[in-house]
Amino acid sequence: MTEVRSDLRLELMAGEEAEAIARAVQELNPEAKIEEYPGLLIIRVPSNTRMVIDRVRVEEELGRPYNLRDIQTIMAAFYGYWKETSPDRWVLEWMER
Amino acid sequence: MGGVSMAMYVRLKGELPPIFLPAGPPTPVGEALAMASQMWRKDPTKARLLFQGRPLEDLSKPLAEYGVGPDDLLELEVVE
Amino acid sequence: MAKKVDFREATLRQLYENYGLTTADLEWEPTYVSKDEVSPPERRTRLPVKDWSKFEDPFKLFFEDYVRVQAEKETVFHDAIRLAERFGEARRINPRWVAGMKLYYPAVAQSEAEAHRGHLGLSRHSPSPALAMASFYQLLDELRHAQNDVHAMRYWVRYLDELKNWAQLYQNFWAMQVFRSLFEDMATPSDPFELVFHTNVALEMGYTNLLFVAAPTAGAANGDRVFAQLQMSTQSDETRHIALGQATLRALLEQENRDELLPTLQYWFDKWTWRHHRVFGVTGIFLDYFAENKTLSYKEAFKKYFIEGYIQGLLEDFEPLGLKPPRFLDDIIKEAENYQSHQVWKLAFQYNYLNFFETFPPTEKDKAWLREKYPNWDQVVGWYWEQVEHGDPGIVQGLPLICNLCQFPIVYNPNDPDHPTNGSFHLRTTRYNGRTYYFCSDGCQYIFEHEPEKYAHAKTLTELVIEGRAPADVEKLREYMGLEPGWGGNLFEKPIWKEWLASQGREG
Repeated sequence: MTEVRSDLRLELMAGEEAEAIARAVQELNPEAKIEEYPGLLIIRVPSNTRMVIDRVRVEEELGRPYNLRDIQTIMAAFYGYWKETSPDRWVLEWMER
Repeated sequence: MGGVSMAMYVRLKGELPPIFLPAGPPTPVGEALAMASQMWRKDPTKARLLFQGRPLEDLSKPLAEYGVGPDDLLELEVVE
Repeated sequence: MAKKVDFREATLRQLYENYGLTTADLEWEPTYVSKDEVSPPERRTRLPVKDWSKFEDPFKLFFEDYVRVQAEKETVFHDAIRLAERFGEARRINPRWVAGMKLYYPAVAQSEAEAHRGHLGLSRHSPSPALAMASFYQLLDELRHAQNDVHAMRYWVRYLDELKNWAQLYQNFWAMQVFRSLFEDMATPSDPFELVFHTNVALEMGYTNLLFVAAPTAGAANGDRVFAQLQMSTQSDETRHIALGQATLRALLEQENRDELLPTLQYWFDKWTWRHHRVFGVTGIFLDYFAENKTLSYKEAFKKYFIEGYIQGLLEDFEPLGLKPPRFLDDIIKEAENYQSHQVWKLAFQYNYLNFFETFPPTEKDKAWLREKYPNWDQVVGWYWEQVEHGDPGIVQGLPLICNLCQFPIVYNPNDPDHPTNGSFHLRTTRYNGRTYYFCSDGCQYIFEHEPEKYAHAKTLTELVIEGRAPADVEKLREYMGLEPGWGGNLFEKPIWKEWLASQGREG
């Protein structure tokens, strides 16, 4: 049995949408950490929290309307479970026990 | 399908992969040693063959006398 | 001021809330033909699953969205490759990385085609309409990946020759047998749910992030943005495939009769985690050796993606439901963290006279990085490169012993932690129907002994040569494998490398 639960993680192709999403996540979860590699932006939050991507906040950061479905265009990897993928909010968390 | 491959292999001690040795149980140890040495670019006068950790010392004996079967692995060891 | 009502948004929200209704009617009792004619029993799952309503697709994708998002991905990829072509990017990519791409594309193009084939079966014979839909999107995705990999090869053959024979290379080249064995095993699963385990669970959760996320960062760092964009685009589809895998695992392990399912599921989990480790561990040579500008080591990528993401992420939830850690996990970790990329690279150099892609000895700068990332590097392979540096050609002039399961020449010794190749190497063999089979590892032997009929009929390339069914002469063997004169060898001894150094203002 593993002792350490790994972070919830979202890996996005770098660009303005990825940056807007990262800032929107950080607004709702101050424990969020960002890592950058060539072409890639990684958002991590602690395993006992949630990663919430709120559409209105993303649009504010981006400065234009944004369809959350378009995250799929830039999403390279994720670790966790998508609890919600609605038009207004995407939520990533680990399974409840 | 069909055909059964029986092949012997020789490994240089400390190295991988083992390589195919065109020999069989009737092959004399000396002949097998010469072939293995050539393939691994070693001097046969400064090398010996081992089977399951045991050196094959009599070069005139066939490999079968040391219990070597048609699909077994030999080792080539350099002895300075 | 009243907000303008967006009816489309409101409709989408309603549809999202009621997603199950959009797929429920995709399943009905046939009346014109029998159910067995529509879906023969041998193509359906044998798993005694009672309740398929438990399968839920987290992405709740509508076809309209699928088409829109995928079209956008295609536009981005094709724009990137068109731009690269227009401005001659290929000529400015480090030839070390280009050598790696020669190996990469034929293997991965075919793998995607086989995954497409596999999901044709699952989608067609799925017991759950929601699963059928998710699998249907996947088979379209895999076809897109295969076509884009071939399209990338079309781009590359403007600059180099080696990929023009890619189909023959895939069929006959010695190292490609490793990929052929794996992908053909994947395309012929014993059960549609074995397919889910080998693709959606083991491969896509465990290893594709290493290949399609970590390796692209190395590509980008060495000037190959086409590769980086293509593989990240591929990987964006994988996120949906991973969700299919997660949802399937949950649906299976939350069944009331899960104890009946567990032995089969555990075997698939054990088998495929092992098989993918063996093959996709080859990713290590792209990160640790081909790339001159390094991003992260295979060991680091393995820790991030395999250990943290796959093992910790998956097992934390599924162990309480009865799924145990993969049987050969300790061997996998030991190999990946200490030996794998180094022994594979060394093997590739040992046979560089039989390759169509170039390899090369690590430079002093490479070695400094390797020693830092892998503290026992000198003990594992450093001694070999020292010999090469002192004039030993380093090549092996003989047919390698090849594992009868994974088709890899036998270069691992995981049972001996202190002396990776200098210790008590023991050869694993199994007799079956009068023939001796050789294995590189406990993992490969275990799989063979579980399903001998599946694997017993193939012959390794070495065995084909011994039997006279493939040529023994080096030049004829090269031709048989699809190689032309001048291909392969040591990159540092070739004019393209010297030209590259000159173009960068560097000395040889």
